Amino acid sequence: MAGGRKAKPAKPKAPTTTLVIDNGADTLKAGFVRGGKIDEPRIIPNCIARDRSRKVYVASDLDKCRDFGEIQFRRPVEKGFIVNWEAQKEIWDHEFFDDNAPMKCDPAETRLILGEPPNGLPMLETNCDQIVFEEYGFSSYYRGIGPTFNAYHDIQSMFQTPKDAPTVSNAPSEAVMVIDSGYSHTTITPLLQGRPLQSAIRRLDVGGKVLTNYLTRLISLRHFDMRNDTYIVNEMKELSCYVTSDFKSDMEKSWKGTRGERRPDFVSGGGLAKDYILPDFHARSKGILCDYEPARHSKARKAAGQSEEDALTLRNERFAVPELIFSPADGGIRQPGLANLIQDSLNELPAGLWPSLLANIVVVGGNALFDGFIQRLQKEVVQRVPDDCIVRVARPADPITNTWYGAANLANHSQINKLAVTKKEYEEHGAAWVARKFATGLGTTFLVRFVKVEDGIYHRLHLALDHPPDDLLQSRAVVVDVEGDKLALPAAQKPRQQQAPGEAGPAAARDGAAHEHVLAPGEEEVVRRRVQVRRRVAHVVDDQAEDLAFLLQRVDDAAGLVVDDVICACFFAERRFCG
Amino acid sequence: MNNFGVIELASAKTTAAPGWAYVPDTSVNRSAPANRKRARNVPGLSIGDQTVRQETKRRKEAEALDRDGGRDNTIPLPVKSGRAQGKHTPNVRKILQSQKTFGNYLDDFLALQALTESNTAASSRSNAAGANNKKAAPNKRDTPSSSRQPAPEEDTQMLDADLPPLLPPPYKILPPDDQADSDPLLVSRVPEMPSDEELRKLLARPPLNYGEATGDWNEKYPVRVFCEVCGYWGRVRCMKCGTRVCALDCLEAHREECVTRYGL
Ligand SMILES: [Zn+2]
Ligand SMILES: [Zn+2]
Repeated sequence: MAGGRKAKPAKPKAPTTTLVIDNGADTLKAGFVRGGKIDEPRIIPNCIARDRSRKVYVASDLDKCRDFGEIQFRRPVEKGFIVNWEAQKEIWDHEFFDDNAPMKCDPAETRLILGEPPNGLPMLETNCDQIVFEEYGFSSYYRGIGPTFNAYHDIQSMFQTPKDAPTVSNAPSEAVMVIDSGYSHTTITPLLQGRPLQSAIRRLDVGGKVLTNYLTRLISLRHFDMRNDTYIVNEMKELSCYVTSDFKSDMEKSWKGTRGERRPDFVSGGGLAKDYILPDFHARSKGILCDYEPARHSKARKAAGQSEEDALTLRNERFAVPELIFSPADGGIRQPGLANLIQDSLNELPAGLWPSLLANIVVVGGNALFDGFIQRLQKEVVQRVPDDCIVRVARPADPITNTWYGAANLANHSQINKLAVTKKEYEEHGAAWVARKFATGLGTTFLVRFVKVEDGIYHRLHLALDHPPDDLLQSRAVVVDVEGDKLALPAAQKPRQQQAPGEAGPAAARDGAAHEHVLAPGEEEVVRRRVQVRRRVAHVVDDQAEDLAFLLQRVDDAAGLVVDDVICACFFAERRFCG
Repeated sequence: MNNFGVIELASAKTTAAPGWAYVPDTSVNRSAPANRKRARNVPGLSIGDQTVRQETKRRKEAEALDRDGGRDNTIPLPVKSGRAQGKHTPNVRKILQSQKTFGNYLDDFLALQALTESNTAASSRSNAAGANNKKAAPNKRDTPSSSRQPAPEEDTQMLDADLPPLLPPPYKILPPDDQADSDPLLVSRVPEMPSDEELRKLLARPPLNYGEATGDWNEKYPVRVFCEVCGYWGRVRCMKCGTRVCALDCLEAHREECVTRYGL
């Protein structure tokens, strides 16, 4: 296989193999997209574990572990972000790069797509990019916000909405609200055409980890100490817990009642109480959930030693644990619950976007597997939004791999060529540039500045960080660097035809001279041009040398623009005569 | 059916433990000032002390929930044979050797942010030449952009957009069709889709930083109180330590622990 690949005479511009990794704190989801074909991803424990006989397991080796009692973990990912690269590298090497790795690949011929949570720390992002290029040498790489990958699906097919709901069918699938509830946290990411609406992204610091810890606490208080058995409690949680649709009612059903007046539901179990038979790692390697059986717990039976199994009865723990996602204050966590946080996110956006976002709420991540999750979320969101808004909440067929499959679809989409960075570009421009490019994403990052040229005449200047549209004509602005030299001026251009994917626009815009226009008073015209300036500090001026200096949000200087921060600066200098 | 709290107090034997009293607690949240007078007559903690203690307990428990259960970062990596090691770049070596936690990185970030903010006034004075200073630039780039406000538009005027539409026409929200159209009660009050201009501006908003992305806790959010023994509603408060329990059974279970911890 590898020999065949090497024998190819000319290397294609973009690698034909993409390794897609959704690098979660608990498990990483990884698989290949080769020549357009999407392999099934593997779900690999993202940890190095040590059992009580002090045997160490790396990542997928954990399959071989037979005794999870008191097992300890070392996890490279903390709060959803790769923090400890010593451990992460061990796991990646073990799975992807060692000679006997189950998914062996050659980074020099592979593109990497890596998902991460939103709102990360710049330092950790830089570490990640440096490892990817400097240690592994991937030929191409994109690090993107995991939840955004979910847009690369047929969202509408996830909703089993009856056909007689006319408004719904008109709702744009272009707007999606992704709820990602995983091990580390739960995030809310509204998307418009796959692009994140950054200011409305929210995070609730309740995820599977917190829920497992909460169940551990409750069991340790009410039954016996399981604080060293997080792994077992986690399995118990996954098997027994559910999201209630009526917290108060289930609370009543599970209460014992007052002294001398035991409630019938409590005595019988009321269909709510369950017995969890703990694994003993001899006869049972996994716990078992059964209906509550009073006889199992009878003192006589226990005393007689008839009860061989360790069973514990779960009552309100079953629903009080996932309840933390909707009511974190129940566990002392002073953060708004998921529905309030969605409301908070919507309040950041114009009301006109609400209907389309609310009609397309997609829940992914392991916690979406709790029974009742999406129904409860739907119910709570409906209570908080205008009556006119239709609220639809969907769970994809497999909420755990949905993000991964989305990223795999992106690997096959032409947009990836705009998003990814090559090793050569990294070497040329450095880590800060790469970080900026990833942050820009698909980049309708238009920074708008109105500049008054003279009375009644305004220039509106749009600066697009990367990815100018293809229909640029010509421009009359002149870009001058600090020494007063004219920088590259574009030729007058015909509206461009569709560009081949991978062939980025900037290359086409290097030569030619400024094209002059004369506008008569009252005339209105949009003039556009494309310039490419790299590693220069430019002043942007119009053709009368009027300074069009503007403040950029992400760039350093008020007077000038550090143009090496962008691949291609694209100016829409619009001149209008008013009055 | 709800014969807990006061009612139970009346019918149950309560004299056994001196210094104990059952107080029905209807306040959702904090200790009610009305209870204060009675509380003074009871040995043990004052309500104020109880509140502080409960708050400390809450915070500690919330922190404990955030811990990574079963974490042991001292697990050694297996010794690998046959893998080419030690040819790392300086960057990579530094990253691999770092044993910083997420908390450490977050602290670094916050410190850098504070530093940058204190320097902002000075650096915003600088002109284009200042931007040539490559040494200064990286720090500022790590600054969360959201801490910086967009350019003030003091010299601006809004004009209509002539840019190609971000969302092509078919994506506009349509009102519900046919039968709904004629019914005045069902006339859509769905707000208009924002203008293209508005959408572009929204998409251009910079990311929030890590801390900014969490929701703000609002005191108006209800806080539910549970029995610390069995998890049912915590409608009775232990007068000694402020712990909530549901009723007599659980109070007695609690008392054992309470006595061990705080004495009689
Ligand atoms: Zn109780
Ligand atoms: Zn007490």
